[in-house]
Amino acid sequence: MDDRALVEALLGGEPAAPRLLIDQYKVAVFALCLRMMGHRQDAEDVSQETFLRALRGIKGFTLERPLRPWLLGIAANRCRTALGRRSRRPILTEAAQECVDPKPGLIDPDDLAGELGRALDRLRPEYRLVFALFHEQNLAYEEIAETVGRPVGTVKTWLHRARSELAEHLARRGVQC
Amino acid sequence: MNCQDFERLWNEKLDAFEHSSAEAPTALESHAAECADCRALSARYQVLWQTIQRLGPLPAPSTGFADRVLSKSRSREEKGTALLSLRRLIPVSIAASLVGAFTLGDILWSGRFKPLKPLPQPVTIVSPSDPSDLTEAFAVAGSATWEFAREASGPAARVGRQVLGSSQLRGAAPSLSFPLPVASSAELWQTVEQRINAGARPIGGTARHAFGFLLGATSIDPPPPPASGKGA
Repeated sequence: MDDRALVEALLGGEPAAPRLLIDQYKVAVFALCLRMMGHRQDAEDVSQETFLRALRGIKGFTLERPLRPWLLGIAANRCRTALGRRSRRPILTEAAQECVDPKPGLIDPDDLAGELGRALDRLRPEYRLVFALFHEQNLAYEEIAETVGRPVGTVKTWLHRARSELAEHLARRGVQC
Repeated sequence: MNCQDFERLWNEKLDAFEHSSAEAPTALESHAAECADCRALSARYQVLWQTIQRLGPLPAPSTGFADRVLSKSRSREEKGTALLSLRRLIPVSIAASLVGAFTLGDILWSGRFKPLKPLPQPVTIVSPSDPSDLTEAFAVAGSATWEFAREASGPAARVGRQVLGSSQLRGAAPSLSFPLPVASSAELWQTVEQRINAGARPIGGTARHAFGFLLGATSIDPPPPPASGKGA
């Protein structure tokens, strides 16, 4: 079902429409939340909150807008709130910190995606967000700008800095292709 | 081309990720051949490009995710409905409170408020049908009062006996009677002090006469005749 028909079904109060919305976008929302939160359970909680907010706020949604950036925008906001809450918790234990930054020289050549994930974890949240939205969610610059509520120029700057820091981190880690 | 352009072109290449290859364009290659920094930068971006290419499919949430969301949505809706109905009551209760407060204030301000009088206590008038019952009741009450007085006066009698017993002079017994006042009060007080120091207790004949019955049945004097000029 395309976005327009789905939104019309939701606005019309069709009982099956909420499930359709969740089934259609749960992977995209969850993947962004997992990339931002770095923890599966936290990502599920934030994804759940995202859909609850979306279902509650669908009445004010216009038919012309695409659903995906709107949902990812809600998810990004929820992630930001959850990360802020997490930063106020007691600091990470030593073991957890080691998980985030393992010792160099132990790279599995087949785990480039894992290396990229660990490098992304070290980025500032806004850089990580735009990188995930561009390279994983395949949103255009304009859609990312709408999602994060920033001008396109800012989004480009964030993405370029994210790439530069990632490339540098991968080189430091000795990743070669 | 300068070094800034070099990095910008690499970013443009990454922007068009799906339509490009890891190989640097010819313009980039020619600049990298001349610049060692940009050569290193190019190598780093090539690694990044290939790493991005290895990103797998997006992860999915655990099974039953949609059910959990819908269940929570329903429970929130129910809570929301309950809260909404409570919220509707808020203006009504505020209005009722205001009206009540205004009415109370008006009553107090205009002085119409008067404290409630205490309820009159019911008075029961007992009218004995037979006067002999009343006489008998008085007799019983008198008897009970007498018994109570006798019970209660036992300890008092013991204390009294001890007081009177200790009023006997110890050792050489001087006269219990005080001498008549002498020339000056200073001499009188000196005498009293001497008697007290000698062990005498200041209990005179009047006190002994009044409380003598406490010493025992044998020492109880017959009661004095009733005064004819006073009382009934």
